[in-house]
Amino acid sequence: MISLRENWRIVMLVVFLLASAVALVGPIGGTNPGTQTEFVDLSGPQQELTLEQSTLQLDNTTLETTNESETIVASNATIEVRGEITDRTDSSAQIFNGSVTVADGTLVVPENATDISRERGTVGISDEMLLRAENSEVTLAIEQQVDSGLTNLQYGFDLAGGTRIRAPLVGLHVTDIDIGANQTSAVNEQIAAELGVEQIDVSIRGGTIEVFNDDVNKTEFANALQAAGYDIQVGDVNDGVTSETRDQVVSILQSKIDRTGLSGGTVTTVGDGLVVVEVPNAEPADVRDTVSDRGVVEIVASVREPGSNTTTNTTVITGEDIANTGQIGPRENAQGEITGWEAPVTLNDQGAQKFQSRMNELNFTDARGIGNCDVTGGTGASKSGSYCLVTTLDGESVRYNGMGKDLAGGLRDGSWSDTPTFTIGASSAEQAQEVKISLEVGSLPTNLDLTGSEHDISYLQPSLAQEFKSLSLLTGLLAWFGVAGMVFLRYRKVRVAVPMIFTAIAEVFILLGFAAVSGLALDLSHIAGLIAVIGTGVDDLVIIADEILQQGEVATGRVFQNRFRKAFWVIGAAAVTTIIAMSPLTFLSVGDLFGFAIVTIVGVLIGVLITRPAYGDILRNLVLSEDQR
Amino acid sequence: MVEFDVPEIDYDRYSNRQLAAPPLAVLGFALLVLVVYYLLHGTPVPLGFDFTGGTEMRLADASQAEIRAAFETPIDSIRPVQGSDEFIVTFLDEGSTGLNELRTTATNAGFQIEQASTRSAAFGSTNQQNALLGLVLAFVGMSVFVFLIFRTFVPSIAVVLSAFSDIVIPLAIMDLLAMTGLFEINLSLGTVAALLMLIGYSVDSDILLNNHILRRRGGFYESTHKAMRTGVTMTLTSIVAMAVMTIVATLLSIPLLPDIGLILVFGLTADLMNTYMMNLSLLRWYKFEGVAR
Repeated sequence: MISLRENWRIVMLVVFLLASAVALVGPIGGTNPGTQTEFVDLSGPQQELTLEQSTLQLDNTTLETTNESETIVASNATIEVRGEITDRTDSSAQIFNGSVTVADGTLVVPENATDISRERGTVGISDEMLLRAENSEVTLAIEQQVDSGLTNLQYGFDLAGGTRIRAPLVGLHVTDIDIGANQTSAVNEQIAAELGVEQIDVSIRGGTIEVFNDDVNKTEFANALQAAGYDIQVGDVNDGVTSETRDQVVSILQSKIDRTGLSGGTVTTVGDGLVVVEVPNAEPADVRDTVSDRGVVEIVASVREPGSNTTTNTTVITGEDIANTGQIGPRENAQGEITGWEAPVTLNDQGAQKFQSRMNELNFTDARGIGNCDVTGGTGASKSGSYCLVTTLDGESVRYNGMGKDLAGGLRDGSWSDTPTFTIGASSAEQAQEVKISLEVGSLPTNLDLTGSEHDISYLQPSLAQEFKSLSLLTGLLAWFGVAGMVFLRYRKVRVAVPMIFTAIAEVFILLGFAAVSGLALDLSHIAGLIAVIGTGVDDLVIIADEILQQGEVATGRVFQNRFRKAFWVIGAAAVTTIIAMSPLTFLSVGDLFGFAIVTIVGVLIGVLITRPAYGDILRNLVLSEDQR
Repeated sequence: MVEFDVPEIDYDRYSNRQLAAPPLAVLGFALLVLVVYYLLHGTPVPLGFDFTGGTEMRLADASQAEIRAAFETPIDSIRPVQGSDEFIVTFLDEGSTGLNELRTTATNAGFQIEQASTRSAAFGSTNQQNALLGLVLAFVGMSVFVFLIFRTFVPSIAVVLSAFSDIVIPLAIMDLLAMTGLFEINLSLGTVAALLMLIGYSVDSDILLNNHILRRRGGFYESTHKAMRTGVTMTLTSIVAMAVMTIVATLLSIPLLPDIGLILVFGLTADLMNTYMMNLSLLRWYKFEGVAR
């Protein structure tokens, strides 16, 4: 009879194995990846998209088919959906000059769409459905359950593919400055003026002043601070941004990526202040734009007084003034042609009051300003002067609009501020979407420095990465077989060798369980670490086996204990050495080696504390039972 | 079935000097190779993309000649990916715009881009400094620990010297391979990881040997043989694991794993020599002559 008390080490091993199995394949809260939104553009001939087990949700999204320009052509574009179409809000889906053909299935179509053939009026798809857009570009937002694969393991760039960008953030900062109370905004203004940058490029928080602009170097920054009356030398200026700013960038960037259709993307930081953006299934160019644009949306009142040649620009709405945003939509003229796009927003009280008074001050709301936006100022202008509301995105003017008559009326008599809605103009649907997202997630305090000294952009074909995943599993298995062969050749005893090779693989299994629980994203370097753990694991088991099986029978538990302790001295010393060797990598920033070091250290700890002691117990049971025979 | 047992070596026949000379000669030669390589190329070992920066692409549907013809940007190297008809092309030119242009060029030329990376030189040199610092810290940490557990100079220095040689020899082999142009392993993050692992692996068998000889009852040669039986099995098992990994990963054209595996195979093989010749001779001297003094 084997008593549990004597074999508590084996019991512990079994418990850890079960826990790892649960961690690997069980439903664990927190690791549920949730849904992701994928934006699919179908343009050009012969585009196909097959979705399985996904829900095509057209609620709160725009299904657009337009053929405004010759580049927007998609004939024979097919979307096959094996799943269901749910919840469509009629008002949010718009189809212009395009057609959606539904064959062998049904589709609920928006009421204001034209030229749509449908077969049945309700959703109820039995097999498959064909959604066809001819001569159109179709952008679909598809919400999908993230496929987490068979296990709860997460995969890093090497094994997931896509795009990875690592770069520092643009910025310089100085710390420990004594800024008088309530002086913050005045100092901000002064420094921005000294440097010739926007106020948004300067941030003051506590005793820290940061500047986020590529064109400002350390000397200029120090000089500007000196001019503002602070005793700052060039040597006091630090590269990079503060950790608060970095955290802010990471969180904003993450929400931005989630909403821009770069599905499954993650944003993290690594030592030395680098920001790492990893997006599976995305091309570098797409990710680059997202991370290098700050997404600063401003509405600027651009005024040229009658008879004057100069234009005065005043910022009248910034991101801070906006309380919430609505659904983007097209702007049509009387003939129903699309003249532009717009993102409706609601301003907050403060912003509304500010906008209302500024518009009145700048004469936008009287006869001079209403409907009088003439950027070129050409001779054919019907009215003199020009009063434009300009949408700017990252300082670039993207759309000029005149003041509407209704809005002007409300602004003039002050009734507008009760329901302060405003539509931000844009030239294209993409731009309107970008404006909307930027307003929702907020603008980035600073952007990733992709032109500067330290950056790294990688792209890996996702299919190749998938291949690496299964092939490296195969490699690991074969390495394990090789080790098993050696162990058999050496010991020739099944009762010694079989537990040995299974204990070694148990170590890897528990380590994978740890990876699943901790959410560690596995990369190739981790796979190498796992294979190395098989190697070191077996090494230590050989030490235990040789020590215990040495000549002379293990007659009593005391002799066994003694020998086991001797073996453990060597194993423990070797384990400590490995941990010492790997620990510098946990605090030095050496590329991707952090994960490798963690895997090795945890692997050694699991080995020394759990699996190798258990192997000693297993061996004792087998040897003692042999002796008794 | 193949017989596998660790042979009992008749150490009596060799003097300490005879035992220590070959490993020391190999170590000396390896250091010489590193110096020569340093004088020729400015770095002690061939540095890979991780440390130099630049742009690297893995292309399919291409031939060497087509690749050379397609790119105007000077090509640093074209390496075939073992086990496939793909190539890894590196350019010293770096920068995010560079990557886009090169990608466009490759696509226009009809190549399939499997992988593309660009890394600034400064990023590379930060990696380089940190990797070197990591290696030094790991080595120093290991040495301190070894001295702490043995508390005697000769056995401790034997372990440290043997570990040092285990690291230097694979590096020298990398240099020799690069110089002869047979096969190129560049120092990458993966190979640095392998070198760190080598510290751990190397010290295992040395500690085992020291422990058996210094702390156990029984004669010197009996203890040595016992330690060898265990230690050689350990090292051979690890060599097999790493050799299988290297071969399989090469055939399946998985990156990184062959580099790590090969470095470890070299290092562990060197470890067999260093432990059972150099370390052993030092221990024997210490046991029979050093202690008596």
